[in-house]
Amino acid sequence: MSLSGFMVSKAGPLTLIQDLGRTGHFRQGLTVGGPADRLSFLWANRLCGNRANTTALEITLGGVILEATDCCQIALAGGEAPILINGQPARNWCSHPLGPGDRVEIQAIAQGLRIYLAVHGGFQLAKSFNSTATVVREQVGGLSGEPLKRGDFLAFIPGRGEPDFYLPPAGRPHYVNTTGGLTLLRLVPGWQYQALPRTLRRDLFSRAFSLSREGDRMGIRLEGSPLTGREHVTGNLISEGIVAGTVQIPPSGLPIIMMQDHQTIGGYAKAGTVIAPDLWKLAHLRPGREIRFAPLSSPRARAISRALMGDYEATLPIRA
Amino acid sequence: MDIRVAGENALIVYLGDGVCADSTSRVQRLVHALERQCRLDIIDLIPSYHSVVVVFDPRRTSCRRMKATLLALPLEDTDNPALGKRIELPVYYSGESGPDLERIAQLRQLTTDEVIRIHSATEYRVYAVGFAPGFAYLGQVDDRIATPRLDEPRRRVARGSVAIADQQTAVYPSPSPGGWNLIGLCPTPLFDATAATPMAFGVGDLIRFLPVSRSEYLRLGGSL
Repeated sequence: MSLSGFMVSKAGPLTLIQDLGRTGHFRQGLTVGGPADRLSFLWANRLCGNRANTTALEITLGGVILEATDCCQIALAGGEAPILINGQPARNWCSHPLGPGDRVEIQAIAQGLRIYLAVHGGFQLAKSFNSTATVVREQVGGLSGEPLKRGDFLAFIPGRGEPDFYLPPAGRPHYVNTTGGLTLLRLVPGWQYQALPRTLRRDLFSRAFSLSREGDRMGIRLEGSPLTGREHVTGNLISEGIVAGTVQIPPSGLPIIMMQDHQTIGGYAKAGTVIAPDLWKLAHLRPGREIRFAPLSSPRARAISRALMGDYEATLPIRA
Repeated sequence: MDIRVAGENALIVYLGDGVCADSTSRVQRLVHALERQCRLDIIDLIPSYHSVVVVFDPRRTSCRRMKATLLALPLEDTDNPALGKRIELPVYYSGESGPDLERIAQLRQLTTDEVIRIHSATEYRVYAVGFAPGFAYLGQVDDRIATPRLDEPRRRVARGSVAIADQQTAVYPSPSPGGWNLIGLCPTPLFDATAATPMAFGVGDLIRFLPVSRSEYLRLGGSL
């Protein structure tokens, strides 16, 4: 008996198998991984009746074609791209039934940067370190630690799933489609912030930076005029653990924002941490886009995250 | 113990002033105590030289409660003999397996044999694990052979390469780019993603390098 699943006819520039990430292995140097935009990932799974930590695809930039060998139900959520099922336009933020031989195409993403594709029951593959999250740098997770490539096979459990659901625009995370202009990233200053030169602290919150081309799931380097007083920043501190969202100030005076695949320890001075919902927003911004940091207190940050997840729980999708 | 906020759901605990065996043993004690007493509240821990990042589960605890828990943990008196395993790693030191060995010797006005003797005479402590899966930062390298990183990192460093950067030394567990000075090769696999215990040692363990001949290195499974 042959397996049920998708044949990958076109893999796109960066399509990664992800679950919510790998925890418990920081001590061995393994990072967390997981979706760059967690909320859209959760929605894709929820729209096809999955639990939160179900293996799905993170498609960056689009350009993916999958062919189903059997019945299944898929759902999409995230950036806006033309989606075609057997050549017919299909809705984003919605689940769809597929039959044997059906072909799903996600074309180039026009707004945002990433779109998530989930399948009812989840993609079936072996976990490594208790997670399927692909971290290419570590060669861990996914299909042998690599992005999807043409000819790969993504196994699923065949079945029709539940009725199809749709999430109207009002219920979607608004950050996915931020267009043009300056994007605010809220940053909770860390304790090392106070030790940074006054001029540097002033510049950090008053200057705009643009996202450099040197940005990936590990971290994003910012471009712009270097922060004043950078020569007074202590360079090599004793290396210590870092978390996603940490903003490092290297000797260049241009901040680096650590993303989902961040290295586990680092020795640069740290200004603080970008709050999680704003990292999800950042996951949809392309190189060249401008950002500015805005200071936020730690209790406010927790309140914002709690409220956002509360809204997610309370929002009900409608029958498609 | 100095506790600071490291993120929305993370605290960092400092347990000493710098790179020393005392800080490391305190780090290890904290990790053991946390694993025994509040495993469920904790998502993950990142121990390093003199600090531990504690990532907690905000659905189960809060920043304030986690802080209180940390302050109440008994650390000082638990003298656990299991702390700090001793591990011996064979190394084939040579120009063939360590392209920077000769340069370090010239730089420090030593013979290559002296460099090898000094490097293998020290017992190193694992201060941190990071950079790549299984990459352990070991210290302290003897002043006589401590050598700064290369100006231009190599694009590819071979698996098992034994290297020095200032007072730190390490073995590259997998091929990667790297800017450390290479002095030999270790045939022992350090990180195996498919094994039940992927990594044979962790922060606080003690490592000693044992010089072996070329043929011994090959016999132990090393490749050139």
